[in-house]
Order: sequence, then C-alpha cells, then structure tokens
Amino acid sequence: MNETLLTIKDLSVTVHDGSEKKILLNRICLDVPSLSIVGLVGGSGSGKTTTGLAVLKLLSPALKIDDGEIIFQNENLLKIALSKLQQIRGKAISMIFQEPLQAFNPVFTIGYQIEEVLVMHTTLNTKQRKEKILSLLDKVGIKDPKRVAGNYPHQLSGGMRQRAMIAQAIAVDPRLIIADEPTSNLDVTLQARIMELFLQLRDELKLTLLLITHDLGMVSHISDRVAVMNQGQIVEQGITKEVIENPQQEYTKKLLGNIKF
Amino acid sequence: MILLELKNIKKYFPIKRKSWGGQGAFVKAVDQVSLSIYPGENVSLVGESGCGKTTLARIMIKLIQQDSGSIKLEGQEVANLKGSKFRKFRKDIQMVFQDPFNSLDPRFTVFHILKEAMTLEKVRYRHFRDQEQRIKELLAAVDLPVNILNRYPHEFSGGERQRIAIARALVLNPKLLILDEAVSSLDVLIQDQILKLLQELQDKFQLTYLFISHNLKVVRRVSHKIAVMYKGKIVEMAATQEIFQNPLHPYTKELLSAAIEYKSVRRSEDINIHPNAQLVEKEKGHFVLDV
Repeated sequence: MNETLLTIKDLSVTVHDGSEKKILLNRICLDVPSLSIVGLVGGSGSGKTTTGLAVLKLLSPALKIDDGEIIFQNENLLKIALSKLQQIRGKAISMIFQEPLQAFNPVFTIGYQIEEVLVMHTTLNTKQRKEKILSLLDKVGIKDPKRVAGNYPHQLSGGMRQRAMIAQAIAVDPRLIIADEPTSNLDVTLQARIMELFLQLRDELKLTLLLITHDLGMVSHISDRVAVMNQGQIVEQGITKEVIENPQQEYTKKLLGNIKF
Repeated sequence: MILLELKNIKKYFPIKRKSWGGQGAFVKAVDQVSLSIYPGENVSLVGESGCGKTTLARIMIKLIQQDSGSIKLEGQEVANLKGSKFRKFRKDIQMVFQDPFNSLDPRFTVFHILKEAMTLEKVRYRHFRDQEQRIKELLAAVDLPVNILNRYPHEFSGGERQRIAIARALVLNPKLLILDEAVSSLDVLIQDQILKLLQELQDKFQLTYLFISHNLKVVRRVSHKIAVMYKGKIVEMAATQEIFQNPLHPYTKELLSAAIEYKSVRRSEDINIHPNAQLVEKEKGHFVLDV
C-alpha cells in the first residue's frame, strides 16, 4: 500500500447550542493513502461534510474541534499557524463543493476566479497565467476554453460549471482534493462523465481524492477505500470491494440495499 | 379506458426572432410525442436535463399550451376546456415538484399550505371541521404527526417537506399524480422511504403515477412502463423489465450504463435523430425510434 497522505485521528467536533452540547463528530479515524480515491458515504446529517471542512479548518465558528489530530504530510493541521495553513489551503489541499453556482462568485468571470488561485500560490506573470487558465480548462474537457474563461458562472450549464470548479481545484497541482458531493446535482450521464474525469486526472496529475457523497453506488465503482458514516461516527471502513461484498453493519446494508439490482 | 392520452404533442420555443421573410430559430422542446397512460399503470419519463421531460409534463397539466397535438383525459379532449370543466380537469391531475425547498411557500404554515389546495372544492370544504378532518387524514397517510400543522416549511427536513408536498397534491383526490424529479434532491435512504410511501399511497387512493427523472435506477422500482426521451422525442418505450434487459436505442444504453455502472459510453458524435423518425414496434410492446 502507498504511504498515508492524510490521517484523521480521534477527531471530535461539537456544537454548543445554548447550554446544550451536541456532538457532531464522535472520535473519527480515517486514513487516506496517497494516490487513492477514498469514499466517505452516509445519509444527510451524518457528518460527512463536517469532516471534509474540518480538514481545512473551514468549520463555522460555532463548531468546536474538541479533540483529535489531522495529520497531513507529517504536520498536524490543527496545530500549525494560520499563515502556514493558508499555504496549504487551495495549494496542497483543495476543495470542490456541491453547488458550483454558489461556490463561484457570481460577479467575476470563471477565468478571473481561477486566476485568483494562481496569483495567490504561484509566481507566474500575467501572460503565463492566462495560458495556464486555458490549459486547465482544456484539461477538464471544456471544448471552448477561451469563451468559458470570459463567461460568468450563470452562463454555463451545470456540467460545465462543475468542470470549471474542478479546473480551479487542480490549478496549482494539489496533492489532495476533497470533493463534497461533486455530482449530486447533475444528471446521470453527466455524473458518469465527471467521475471519469476524476479517474483520468488522478492518473495524470497524481492526485488523491476524498470523495464525499451519499451515493454508495458511485463510490463502489470508483473508489479504492470507503468509510461509511452515520450520526457522526464512522461505522465501517475498509477496502471498497470487501465492504460492498461483505458489509458488517446494518446501516451499510441499508445503504447497499438501494444500489443492488 | 385510457386515463391520459397524448397525441403528436409539439412545442417549439423561439430563440431567435424572425427577420423579414426569414425563418426564426426554435428549440424543439417537445417534438411529436405520443404517450398513453392507463389507470394504475405507472409510467416513467427519463432523459438527460434539457430533453423536454418537464416541458411535456407542464403541457399535460396545461401550465403551458402546446403548439399542436391533442391531450385527452378519460377520452375527453382538454384543449378547450373552460369554467367548471377545466377546474375538474385541474383536480384530476396534480403535480409534485423537484425541490421541496422552493415549492412550499415559506410564509405559510403546513395547515395553510394544505388548506390552500382545497380552494377548488370550496363548497365541500367550507367548514373548518371538514378541512381539519381531511388534513389530518392526509398527514396520517404520508406518515407525518398531526402536531406539525402550525409549523413552517423551514422547520422540516427535505424528506418531510416532500411528504408535505405529496399530501398537498393528494388533497383533492387526483387520478394522476405527476412527480417531477420528486426524489432526486433527497439522499438515498430518504429516497427509499418516499418511494415506499408512494407505493402505499397508490393502493390506498387508486392513483396512477407519472415519474419524471434522469435516473433510471430510481424509477425502476415503481414504474411499469418507461419512456426514454432524448432531444424532445421519445426514443424508446417499453415495459420496465424489458428496457433494463434489452435496451435497443443507443441513447437508452448510454443512460443505463451511466446510471448503473457510472460509466459514460463514449459517443463518437451526438446521436442523430431524423426529424421524421417514427416509433416502431420492434417487439411486442417495445417501441423504438426508427433511425
């Protein structure tokens, strides 16, 4: 097996609602080996997204990380200084959100928003950046990169927008991409195409992917490992094939019941 | 008797204005579609976004007017219905929309939402007592507790909201219920619950469903017949099992492999559809668009 790129150890997150304390994540442990695709599956409200956001410390201030470690390339992300974290966010780890229409800023063009990442993390000059943007859009399968770079998010179709989002995420050669429900809003044919794009990019760019979704069917087709979450806990994890063929937990079986034919 | 019969429905949307003597450009949203729905036989309309599924559904309930073609409800042409006959038609066909976050008025309580649906039967439900009784009946049918009547939509989860939307559609005892992507915004377990609920309700209220979806897998459990739409036309139509075991049209194959194996079939080019292509019965009850 490859070395481990990201390790989450005993991560607990709570929210204080008045005097009440609610546990959102209960001692989560998760390993993400390099160059693999790991699926994080569960129903809505099971804590999948919270886990993803916690890795980049993007949780809303009301949520508190009580305990645990998030180790990425031998550094504990929960302990390092903010300036250093900023270097990791978007560069070494980038994130793809569920609804690209909301994740993109509506008043800037796609090209501008990809350029922002390049300005932040690279030393390319203006001309090089322009070229890079076009090559990125081309890489994610957009046929007319010049036009798309000049478009605003609302002018693109759902599939195109998601591709543009992926282009932004891979802009500065990240090691790890956290994809939060990247295809849930797309129709099935587009879903399949985006998933293929992920597989292709992983091989081309040596990416590792943490795929957060409620669709165990999708995960079972593309991921190497899978972790099943329910009510803030990881109830089962392992190699995808083993989990699918021989689920141990009731909850996993229930999720699986939906994908079998 | 056929419950709802569509014949050669056509709807083009203009995208370019006609210049003097020139031809305008059109989007062929629905192009010569014929479809019959029998009582108790659930039909699914599947296809990718933008293929005209929703436009067709909107034509069926007369939210938009078709350019040509006829719609018959229980043998009666509905194109020129007016007054009380039109209101009767509206009662018989109800719709559940995709996004329960947008289809319920945020400023109405659950009681108000369900009561509003009774407007078409003002006389029958003129007393508060009758309204309340009917509403309680429906909440019980969709497995929601009665004490939610004074709550607002934002207080509910997606699955609960979709239940409220279904209850609203059932208020007037419709014969046909159109579910436009009614479960696609929900997670798989909730989808499962809603589909089970729909099966229960079908027996209870003698309903017929028309499902509209992009996901063959979701509609498989509940539909008897599947019609696959592509670029405004029905390209294949057959019994559910038949479609899954023996898909004939290239687009159906693509849709199936995407939904089941999450693989996209590489198309060398877009599937061409001849403007005059007709549905041909290849095997018994299995229609395919002739290329």
